[in-house]
Amino acid sequence: MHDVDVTGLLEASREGNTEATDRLLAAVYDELRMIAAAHRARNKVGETLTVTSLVHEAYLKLVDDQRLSFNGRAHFFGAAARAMRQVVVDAVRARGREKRGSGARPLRLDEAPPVTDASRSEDVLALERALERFEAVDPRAARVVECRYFAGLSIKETAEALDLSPMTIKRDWAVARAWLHRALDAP
Amino acid sequence: MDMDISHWTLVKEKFFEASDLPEAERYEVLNDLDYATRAEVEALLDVADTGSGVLDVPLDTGLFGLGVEALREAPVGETVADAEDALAGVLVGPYRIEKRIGRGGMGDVYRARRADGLFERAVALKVVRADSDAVLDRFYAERRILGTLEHPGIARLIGAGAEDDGPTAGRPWLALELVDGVPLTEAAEDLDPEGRIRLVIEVAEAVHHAHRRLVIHRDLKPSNVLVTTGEDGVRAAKLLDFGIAKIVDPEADPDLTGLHARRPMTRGYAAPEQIRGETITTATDIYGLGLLLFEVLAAARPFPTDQGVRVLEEAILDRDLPLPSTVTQPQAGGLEPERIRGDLDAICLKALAKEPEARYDSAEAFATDLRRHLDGVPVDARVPSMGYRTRRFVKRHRAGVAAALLVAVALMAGLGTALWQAGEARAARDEALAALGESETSLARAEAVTDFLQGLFETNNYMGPVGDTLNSIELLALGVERAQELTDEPEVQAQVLQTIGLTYFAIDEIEQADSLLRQALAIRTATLGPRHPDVAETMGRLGWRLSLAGAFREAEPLLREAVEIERASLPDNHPRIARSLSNLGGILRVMAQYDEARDILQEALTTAQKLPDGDERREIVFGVSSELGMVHRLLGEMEASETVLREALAAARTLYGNHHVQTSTALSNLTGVLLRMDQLEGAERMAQLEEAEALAREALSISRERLGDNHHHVAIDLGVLAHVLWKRGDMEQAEAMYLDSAERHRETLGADAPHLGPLLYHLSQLYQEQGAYTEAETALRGSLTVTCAAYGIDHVHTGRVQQALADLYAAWGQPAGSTECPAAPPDV
Repeated sequence: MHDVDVTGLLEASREGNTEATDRLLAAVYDELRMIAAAHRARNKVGETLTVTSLVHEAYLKLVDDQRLSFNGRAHFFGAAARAMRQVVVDAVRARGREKRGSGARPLRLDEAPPVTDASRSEDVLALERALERFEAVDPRAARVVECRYFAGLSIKETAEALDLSPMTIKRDWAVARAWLHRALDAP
Repeated sequence: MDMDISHWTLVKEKFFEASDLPEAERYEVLNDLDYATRAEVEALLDVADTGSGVLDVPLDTGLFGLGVEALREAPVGETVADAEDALAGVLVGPYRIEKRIGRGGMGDVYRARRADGLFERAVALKVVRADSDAVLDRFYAERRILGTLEHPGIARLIGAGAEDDGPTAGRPWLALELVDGVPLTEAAEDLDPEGRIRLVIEVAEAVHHAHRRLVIHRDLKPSNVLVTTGEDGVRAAKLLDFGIAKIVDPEADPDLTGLHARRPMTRGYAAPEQIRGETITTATDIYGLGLLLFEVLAAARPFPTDQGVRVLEEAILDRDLPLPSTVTQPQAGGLEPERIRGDLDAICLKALAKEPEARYDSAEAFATDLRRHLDGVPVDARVPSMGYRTRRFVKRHRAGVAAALLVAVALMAGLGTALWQAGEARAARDEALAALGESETSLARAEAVTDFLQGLFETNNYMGPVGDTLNSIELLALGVERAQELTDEPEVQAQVLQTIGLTYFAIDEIEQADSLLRQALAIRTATLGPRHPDVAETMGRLGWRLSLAGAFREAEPLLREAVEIERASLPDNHPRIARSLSNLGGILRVMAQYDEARDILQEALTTAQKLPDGDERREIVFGVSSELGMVHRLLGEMEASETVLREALAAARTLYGNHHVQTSTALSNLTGVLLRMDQLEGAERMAQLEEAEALAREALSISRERLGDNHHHVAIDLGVLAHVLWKRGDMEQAEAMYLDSAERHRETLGADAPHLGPLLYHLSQLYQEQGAYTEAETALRGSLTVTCAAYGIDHVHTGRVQQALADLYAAWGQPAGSTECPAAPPDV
């Protein structure tokens, strides 16, 4: 099914080949959407898949562990986080277009949590816009958000994916979280 | 949220320090901070301590019904990637998507074609992952500048927009020239050393062209340079995405004012200043050219790209550049070390200097050095011996000045839509080079102008509120500000003001342009005396540009005086006299003084024909015969006109090729005269009109292709095509095109664009022919307003429109309304 050699692309991408990085992102993007769609088709509404397991499943399907050099796995998760962010934002946007005009009910404060799909979709889009601005302020911390939030990676996995220390990840995450939450709350 | 990088680093540091402390002790950490920083840190601490937000709820896929719909639409067995091509057939702006051809960091790229069939060639349509409002704002801010990037080595930006609905809703798109080629590094593998170097020279020339128009690429890398192979087997390099980085890059967003951090678009190809978050200048592109050369020669990259980003960035910042001859990979297609050692090592070293100031002064200088290498002449980049240095000093000095002067010259002449754009540039360059040989004073002056213009690109020391998000317009405004300080050197000041003024004209900021050129004129008159050829030069340029902007009555006396001074102060048959005569003839034509115009243009032609054979002579002859053809036409000498205009068209095709704005103009002119040759009848006339339609469509297609939809040339060409369609009996299309044309005239040159006069006049005739008197009256009144404003109440054009209005009321059977010129609107 996969005529794309993701393992090879991964190695080339790590060596700085940007074409390979682009193609890697595209392949991961497609795979993430396929797995999520297949999962949705199999399961009932309400049973959901976490992004963490989605990303890990994509890894198992796409990458040949045996051929991978040291750190290749970490590099995959870094790329997957970026692709996942795009998948999420694209999907939410597509959904927003379908739902447009269907008269989403305004959310009352005392209702949260759990929040409704509609308001969370808006949250994700607002977050994406804020994150695009934050990337200009602190690109490294923005990458941390990508890994932690969009791909559900742990502190340790994020540290490996970004080639940074766990302490740095912790701190970047804390400051990014504060900055973004503040940006989202701002009127 | 304004902050720069060092400010943010401080905020971050204090945030960490304070968050490790109990709340009561935090003030000790915060006390020393200035108010703004403290407020920033406190706000972050506040948010960090309280509540739960979006980021605290793990994402799950139930949220977004991932991709199920897309899969259902795709037949079983196809992947989602195929389903993405379901965008095939979708309309985006005026384009219909055919298929996806690429996928990149910015977003997907599709091949698309205009849905209305007006322009047949396919385009590359980039659907960008970014906020569409911001992208479109930046596109509109830059489009006039980007629209002037006309170079065979640069893939053109054609248009941009965003859809409100449909599958691409909310995402901005950019339409670019579609290039069918292979990446530079791949193409280089098949070539010998000279072939490789020639490709890099081509790229450098394209980059130089853009730099002269104040456009910096910022993201030069092999995948952005495609090499095409023509039917004749000739390879040509074409640069993609020029100016796009600035439009798409979120960091260039003015909302992020004051940020100096610019994430390089492509990390592996970042220049040191990009990593340091410093200002991007033309020197950044010189570095990019150095990287391209390095990779084309050595099939390897200077710094390790397999040890993580931090190692790479540190290497780019601190590690000495390895010589390409020491890292070349012959087995991977790199040249042998001996072929690179020496000149080529030195050229890479100079282009890839860590400090921007140490690199080549311009892309042209880089190309020149590569050419010297191919010619076997010593290159500038090599450190010369003392004796060598002494001998070379003057020569090299002048070459440097000359190269930089080209920047100034191009700014003067290159940006606009002036009919003789290329000719002006060439003449000015020749003058500049000649002047360099003449005297120390002119050398000093040239250098001063050069220094000044280069300083404009280096905005590091500019502490204004917009930081490095300065766009081209702001850059010019900054230039004016600095020029006003040059009072000690009036000659330099005059030249700089003139340069900037002409640039303003080129981007249609007429008032500002006019005032700067008048200031330059006053300074030159005061320093050089009123009869100096330089005074005439400024007068001529001001007059010409004013006439292009429709201010004919202001322009005429300036052009007359310029001719007079030049006749008195320059040798007979000087090309400048021919040009000035031609400009004067052109404006006399517009002002309906046809007999004098014909005499003046005839004199211009005679003068031009005495010039030595060459492109300059051909250009002048082309320009003059175009004008003369128009005048003949207006005098009713249709056959003479047709003959001259056919010659002009043939000349344009030879001189400029079949895809050039000049050729479009020549086509349009010939169409005009064919339209009016109604002495033919029946089948002969039909054939003539058929040719006219083909010519008009070719003209429109070239203008659209070269200038984009929103350009007054497109407006003019639409009007001509409308006229042909009317004559061929297609009223409906003709009316639609007239209205489209009028709208574009208003958009590009304002409600009083002079071309609106005849255009609305013709439209009213069309309405009247169909008995639509009310519409005819509205159109004629619009024509009258514009015509009165442009030509005055006594002009023959005005009289013609007034007569038409009177005729209309007579045919209509209505009591005649006023045919007076409407009162001029009060000055604001």
